[in-house]
Amino acid sequence: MLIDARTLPDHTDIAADVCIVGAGTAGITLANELVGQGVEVALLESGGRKPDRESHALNDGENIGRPYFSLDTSRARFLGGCCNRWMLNIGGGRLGARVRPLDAVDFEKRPWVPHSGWPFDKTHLDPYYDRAQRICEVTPLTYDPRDWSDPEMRPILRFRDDRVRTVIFKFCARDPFLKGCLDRIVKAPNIRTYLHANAVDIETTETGRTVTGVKAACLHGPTFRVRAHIVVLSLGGLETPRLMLLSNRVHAGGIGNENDLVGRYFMEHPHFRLGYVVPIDPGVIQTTGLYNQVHTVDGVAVVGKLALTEAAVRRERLLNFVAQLNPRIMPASKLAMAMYPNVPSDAVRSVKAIRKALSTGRMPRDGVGHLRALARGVDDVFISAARKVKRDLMHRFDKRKVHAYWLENMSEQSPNPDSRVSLSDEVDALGQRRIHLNWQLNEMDLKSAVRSFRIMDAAFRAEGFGRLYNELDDLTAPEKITGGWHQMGTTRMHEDPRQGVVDANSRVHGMSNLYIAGPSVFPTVGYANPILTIVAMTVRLADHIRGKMKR
Amino acid sequence: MTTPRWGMVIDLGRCIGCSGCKETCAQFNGLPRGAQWRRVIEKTLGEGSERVRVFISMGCMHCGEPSCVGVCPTGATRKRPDGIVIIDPNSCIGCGACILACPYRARSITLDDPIRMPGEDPGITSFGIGVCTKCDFCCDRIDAGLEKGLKPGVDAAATPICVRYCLGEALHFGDLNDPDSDVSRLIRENPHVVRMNQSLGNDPAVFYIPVNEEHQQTHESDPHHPA
Repeated sequence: MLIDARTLPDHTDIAADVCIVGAGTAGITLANELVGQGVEVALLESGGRKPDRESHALNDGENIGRPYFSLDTSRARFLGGCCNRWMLNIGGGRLGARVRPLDAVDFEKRPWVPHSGWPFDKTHLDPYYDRAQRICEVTPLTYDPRDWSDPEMRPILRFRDDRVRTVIFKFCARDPFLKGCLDRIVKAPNIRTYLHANAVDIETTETGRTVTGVKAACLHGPTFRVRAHIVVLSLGGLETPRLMLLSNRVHAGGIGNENDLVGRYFMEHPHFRLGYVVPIDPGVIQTTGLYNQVHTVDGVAVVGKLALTEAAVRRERLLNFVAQLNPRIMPASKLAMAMYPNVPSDAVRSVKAIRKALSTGRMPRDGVGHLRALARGVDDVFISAARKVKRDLMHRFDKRKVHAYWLENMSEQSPNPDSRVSLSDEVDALGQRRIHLNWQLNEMDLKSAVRSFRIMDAAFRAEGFGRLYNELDDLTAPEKITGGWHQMGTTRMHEDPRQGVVDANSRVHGMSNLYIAGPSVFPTVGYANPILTIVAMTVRLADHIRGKMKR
Repeated sequence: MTTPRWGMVIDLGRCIGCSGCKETCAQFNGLPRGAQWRRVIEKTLGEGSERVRVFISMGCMHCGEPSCVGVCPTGATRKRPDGIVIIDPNSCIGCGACILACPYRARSITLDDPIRMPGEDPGITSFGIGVCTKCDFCCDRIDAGLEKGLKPGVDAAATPICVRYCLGEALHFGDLNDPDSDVSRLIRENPHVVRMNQSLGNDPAVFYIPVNEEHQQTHESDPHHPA
């Protein structure tokens, strides 16, 4: 049943067994799992059936770290949540998003990745991944590239170098969620979905150990309360920590935040262009459709990508990594920067700093330091200058066109406590404090991507496939890094309350009946798009809740 | 029967800035790098807790008096009888005169060209490198739809991609010469409807309904929208 919460009398008290806050991917999945299960469910959604500007304005906030998408436009605050933002053309006029499980290595505690390790390994989650794939309607279950390739039309690239492999991404359409699941939920007698219902406070007992209910408010409308035995927050990686930090009546630092972890470890999947692969035989491009063409096999849209093998990730002590081949005809001069890159050297950076300062009529800061760096690396300066001349000559005189791949990566970001969501002093239309997002990448994130790129280059060369022109150095972040609208990690899972916000069952540490569903619980994020793991983890949580309600 | 003049009405009060128009346009049209047929401008009015955000989806305005047509030295840019301004990539020499002439910054030069794969959608054609490109109101969809007896702006299959997939149903498309079309109705019913840079006299075919804060709270589905 769909209920417009604005029609409720002010201060209404609603009783339910389970209150789910947020009707996005996780909230819909959980409610769908509870259809007909003999439990009364109240599902709260901030927006309506269609988006509206005023509800979306509640998402507004400020980016104070790395440049990131505007916080009010990178999410969807209406029924279906971020499922509505799946915008990839997957054929047949359908829109969808990539789905793939995390790799086994992503669950491991890796000594070279601080704060890594899930409380369980991938084999534990595999049965839930299978169920998630059925919900996403991306069966057959296999992810073996041999099952999705075509030796004639779209063969698998073979590498003698055992560090590089082909991986398959499937595409899940919006319909299984926005039509299938939502239709079932709306028709279910045991589920009441309240639209325009903004959760503003998680209410607890005096001890602060048990949630008694959720206080909700409508814009220009009533406030009301949902009292429930179990409360599940499924508001995504930014709003979930926000609501927890705002719920500070009993716990001054916010609910579940005794160890100052709520909002920390924000992670994205950094996307950036690494460089170009120029094949020796341009004709080979026509045989790599598996990797750059969304195509349908057995009714499922798929595409291949190139990843590191898990053994290579462990052996080389890297973060996980995947790259996509985008075939392009491009002017040869576009390769100039990749062929003749700047030398990553302090001396070169000092020359730039001195030039920049002098061009504005000022003396450079730390002039002595710059001169010292220059003296130490004068040869780097000459090499860099020579390369610049070559680049300029290419831009001016090289009119050839080349067939090449533009290589774009989607890599794992390491967990970083300083990359975080916090409350700002501004308030929204409901009087709730907005957020600051301080997205940070560290040196390891960049170095690992560059090293992964070099491994791929070696594999391409060993095969005689071509060579790879890198645009990056180890220390300088590329100018344009984007994310994938994947906001993760801000209420991380760990068995130890000093290292995680939720326990292995997604229950908030120190709280008897408060759970979190969604990507905010991921302690590490691999390279795979988060949807399938969100659904798998939510199905797992649904089993736990069903078991608890039976008891 | 009068010749149609295709046009668009964008209700800024319904736009949430999701960029769905831009993303789906780029994907379904297989745009090369450098080409941006649609963009969404984000504006912040006011400061602090009082600030209001406005999002403006922009593309080619398919002007009645397009500045770009007159300056094109090769005739690559031309206006169809139905008002859609198109570019013939085979005639374009990438001189950039039209880019300078367009007051809406709707045009861009391709930096590369995606390589088409065997079995790929034959409807997507190559662009070429260093040629000018811009929104064509998905005229291939319109033409194919009309041949099947479909009505652009009403039937999703004959409607520009950006309109079809607009999450907020802010974008509307139709025949400005048809008083019964969705776009004509919206223009008639909204006295504050505006066109950009109207004083320049280009007679753009894209109309904007400004944000009305009093009426922005919620919208349920628009029965006229082809989504």
